[in-house]
Amino acid sequence: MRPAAALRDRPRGRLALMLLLGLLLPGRDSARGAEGPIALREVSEATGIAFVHTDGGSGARYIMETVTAGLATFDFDGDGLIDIYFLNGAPLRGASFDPEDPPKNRLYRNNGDWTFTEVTEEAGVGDTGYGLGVVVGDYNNNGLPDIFVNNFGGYVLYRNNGDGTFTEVSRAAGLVGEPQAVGAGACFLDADGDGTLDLFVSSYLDFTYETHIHNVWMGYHVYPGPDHYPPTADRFFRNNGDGTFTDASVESGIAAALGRGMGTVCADFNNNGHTDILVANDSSPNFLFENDGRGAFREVGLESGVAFDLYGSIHGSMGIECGDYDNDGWLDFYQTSYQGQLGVLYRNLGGTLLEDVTMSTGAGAGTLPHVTWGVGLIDFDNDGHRDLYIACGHLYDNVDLFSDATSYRVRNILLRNDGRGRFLDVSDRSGDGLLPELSSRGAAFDDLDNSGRIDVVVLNSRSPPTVLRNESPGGHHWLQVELEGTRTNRDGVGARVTVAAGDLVQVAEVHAGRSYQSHYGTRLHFGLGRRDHVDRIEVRWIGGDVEVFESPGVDRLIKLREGTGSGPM
Amino acid sequence: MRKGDKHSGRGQGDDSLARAPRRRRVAALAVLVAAALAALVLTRVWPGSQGRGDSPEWTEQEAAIQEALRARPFQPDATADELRDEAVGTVAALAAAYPEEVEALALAAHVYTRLGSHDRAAALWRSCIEIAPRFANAHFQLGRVLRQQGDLDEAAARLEEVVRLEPAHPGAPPLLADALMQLGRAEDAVAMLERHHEHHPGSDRSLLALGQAQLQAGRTEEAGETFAQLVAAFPADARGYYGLARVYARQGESAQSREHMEAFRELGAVDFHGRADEIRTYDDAANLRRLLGQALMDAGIVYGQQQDLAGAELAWRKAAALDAEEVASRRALLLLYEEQGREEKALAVCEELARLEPENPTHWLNLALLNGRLQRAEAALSAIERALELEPQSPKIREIHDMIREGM
Repeated sequence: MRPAAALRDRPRGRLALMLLLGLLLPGRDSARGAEGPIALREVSEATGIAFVHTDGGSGARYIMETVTAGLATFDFDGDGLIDIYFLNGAPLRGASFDPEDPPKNRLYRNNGDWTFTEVTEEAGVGDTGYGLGVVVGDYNNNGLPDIFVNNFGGYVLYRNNGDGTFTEVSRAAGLVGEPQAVGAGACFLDADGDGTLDLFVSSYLDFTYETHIHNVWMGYHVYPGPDHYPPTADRFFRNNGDGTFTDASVESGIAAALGRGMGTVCADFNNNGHTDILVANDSSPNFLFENDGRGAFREVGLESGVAFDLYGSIHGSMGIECGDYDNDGWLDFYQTSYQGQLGVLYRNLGGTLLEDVTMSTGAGAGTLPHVTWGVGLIDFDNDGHRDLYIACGHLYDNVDLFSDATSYRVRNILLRNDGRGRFLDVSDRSGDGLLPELSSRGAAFDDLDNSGRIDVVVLNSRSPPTVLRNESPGGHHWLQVELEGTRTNRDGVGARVTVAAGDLVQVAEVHAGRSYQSHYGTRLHFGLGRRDHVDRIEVRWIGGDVEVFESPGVDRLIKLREGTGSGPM
Repeated sequence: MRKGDKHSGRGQGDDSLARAPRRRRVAALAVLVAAALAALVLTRVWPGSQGRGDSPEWTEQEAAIQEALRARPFQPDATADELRDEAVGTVAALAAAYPEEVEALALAAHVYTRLGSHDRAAALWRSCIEIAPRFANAHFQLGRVLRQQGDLDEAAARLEEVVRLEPAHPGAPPLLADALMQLGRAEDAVAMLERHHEHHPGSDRSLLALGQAQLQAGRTEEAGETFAQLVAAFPADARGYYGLARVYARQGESAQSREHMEAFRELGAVDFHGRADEIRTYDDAANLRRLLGQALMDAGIVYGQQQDLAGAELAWRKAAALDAEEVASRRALLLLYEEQGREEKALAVCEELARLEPENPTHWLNLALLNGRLQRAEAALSAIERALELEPQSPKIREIHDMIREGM
C-alpha cells in the first residue's frame, strides 16, 4: 500500500492521536519524512476545519463540476492572523442535498494556535451559489477587506462591516453577473490609477442545462470539455468610487477577446507602472491585456509570448501565478495545464517577451501526467529564491478506468528553486504534507502562524481541504511587508516593493486574486537566507510615486504607510 | 534456441514489422493479398484437382464463427463498452497465445496504449525488447509511454536507442530532444539533432525541434537560422514563424517579432466554433469500432503467420462483420479461402468486394474466375465482361474473357 493510502485508511481519531504524539516527540521540529530544506507537515485534521467540498454533482457530469473551486486566505477581522475562506459547489440539477443544510462557502477564523473556528454564519458569508473563483480587496477603501465571489450563475460581493460581519451588496454595487455564466478567477486592480479598485472577472464559458453535452470517451461517461462550448468574453468593471461599479468590458477592450478564462492574475509585466491582466485560458490562447494606464487594454498575449508554449501550442491552461523566480527584477509567470502538457514557466525578458523556460529550468518536473491547478511561486525555505508548489488532480473522477498514466486523486508537487536557475522535484523529501493523494484545485499560500514561514492551504474537490504547516529548518531570515495606501488604493494593490539585503535584491507586487481562482499573499514575503539585515525597502505605488523605507530589522512583519517614507535616492 | 535469437537479426533489413508502423503493415498485407489474388487468377480458371469446396470439415468451424458473430460487439448497436472489451479480449488472447511473438505483443501494446493502459503497454514493449533487442519501434513506443508517465531518464534512454538502431527514424529525434530538454540537457539535444539533420535533412519536425533546442540552449542566432530554413522549406508551416518571432523578440527586434507572430496567427488560426462542432459530432462507439476492427485485422495477420488459419479466419470475419464497408479484411479472407480451396466462400467475399469497389476490375476478374471454377458460366461471363468494360486494354482480362467464352 502506498504511504498516502495507508494514511487515509487509518481511523481519523487514531490519526489525530498520532499527529499529536508527533508534535510532542522531542527533537522533531520539522515535518515527518522531510530530508531536505523544505518541510511541510500535514496538519489538516488538527485544525478543526470541518469543511468538505462538494461539486454538486448528480452523476450527469456537468462541466462546472470539474473546475470548482478556489479559496482565499486573508485577515478578515484585522487581528493579525490570516483566516481562510473556502468556496463550495451547490446542488446542480438532479443532485439531492439536505435543504436544511445546503452546501455553502465557509469562513474559518484563525485562532492563532493552528486551530480554526468556523464563523460563516456570524460573518454572513455562507453563499450557497455555485462557487468557482474568489478575490479579496478593499473596494471601498475603508481599510477592511471585502470579498468578491465569481459563481456559476452570478456574482456575490460581500462588504466587510468591520465588526466581523459582512453585508451582501452585489446588486447595490452593480455586480450581478449572468445566469448562464460559468465564472472563474477574478482580480481587483486599479486599472486607471484613480485610487479605487476596479474588478476583472474571468469567464470560463456559458452553460445551460439544455446545452449540456453527454460526453463518452472509450465507452466511459466523462465530463464534456471546454471545446464543447464556444469561447466567451471576460468582464471588466470600473469602480465608480461610491461603492458601485460600471460594466466597462467593451470600452476597456476586454470584451474584444474571446477565450475560456480560468485563473487570472493582474501584474505589471512590463514594469511601466500600470497593472496589466493575464488570463489562463483553457483550450484557447492565454491573454495578456496590456494596460495603457487609463484602464484601456490591448490584448498582446501572442506578441508577448504568453499565449502559447514554446512550441506554439495551445494549453488547457488552469491557473496562473506571478513572481520573480530568478530575482532579475522582472515578474515571471507560471501557468498550470492539462494532462499531457507541462506546467509552463514564462521568464520575463525585460518586459517585452515572456519566454517559456520550462525545459531549461525544470519547472515542469512531474506535471506532465497530471492535470494541474493551483500554483504558488513561494519561497518556502526563506533562502531568497521562490519555489513552486503545484496542486494536481484529474478532472475526470473516473479517469482511472481508462488511463493508468494519472488519477483523479494524486499527490501535489513541490519544486525547489536551487537559486541557479533550476527547479528540483523535492516532493518525496519535504515531509508528509506532500503525501496526500487528493484531487486538488485552488491553493493558497500565507503565513498562518506568523512564524515567518509560508504555509499552504489546498481546496480539494469532493474532499476536506489540506492544511500544511511549514516547518522548514534552516534558520533563514525573512521580512514581510504590508502596505497601506493613502493616496492610492488602501491595500496597495499593484504597488511594487523592492527589498535589498546585501547581494540579494527581490521584487514583489501586491496582487488581489491569483493562481487558480484564488486569493492569497496580500502581505508580501521575502526570504533573506543568512542575511540578517535589510539595506533598503523601496515602494513604487500605483501611479509611479516611489518611496524608500528603512527596515527596523528582519524576521518581522512591517507595515508601510504611503506618504511616510522618503523620496527615492 | 535463445529467447531473442529468432528476432535478434531484425532491425537491419528483414524486419518489416519492426520498421513499419502498424498501419503500414496492414497496408502491406492488403498489397500482398491483392498481389496473390492477381497471380492466382492467371493460373486457374476452371476447377483444379486441389479444389476442396466447402466440404463438411468446415461446417463445425463455420458454426463456431456464426456463434461468435452473434455476440454483442458485432451487432450494429454495439455499445462502446462492448467494443472496448472485445478489443481488449482480442489482444489479450493473442498475447497469451503467442507470448514469444513480438508481432502479437506489439499489437496488444498498441491497443493498450490507445485504451490508456500504459503500464500494460510498457510491460509488453519491454517483453518485445527482450525478445528482439533491435526492434526499434518497441524502443520508440516504450519511450513514448515512459515520457507520458514522466519517467524522462528512461524515456530518453529508449529514444536514444531508437536513434542508434534506426538513425532515419522520423519520430524519435524530436521526441528525444524534448525529453533531453526537460532533463536540462539542451546542448545534448542540439548535438543529437544536428547529427540527425546532417544525415537526414528535409524533415520539418527535426528542423523545428532543432530550432527549439537551440533556443533552449541559448543559441539564439543559430535558432534563427534554423527557423528561417524551416520557413523557407515549409512556408505553410505556422510553427516556423512562431520560432522566428521568438528569436526576434529575444534579439529585441520587436517589429520583426510582431510581423512573424502575425504570420503565425494567420497560418495557425484556430476556428473554435468549427472545433466545437467537430467535437460535438465525435462518436465514441465509432471510434472504438475502428480500433477493434484494426485490432482484429492485425490479429488475423498474426494468427495467419502462426499457421492458425482458423484463428485468422475468425478475426477477419469479425473485422468484416464490424464494418460492412471495410475492404482489407475481406481481401484477406478472399486470399485465405482461395488458399483453402473454399471457393463458395471466396465467391461470396468477392461479391462483397465488387459491391464495395465496383470500379475495381480485379474484383470482377476474380468473380469471373471463381464463377468459372464453380461451373457458373453465365455469371463468369457477365463478370469478365464488366472487368473488360473497366479495363478494355488489359491483355490479361481479354485473355481470360476469351477463355471463358471458349469454354462455354
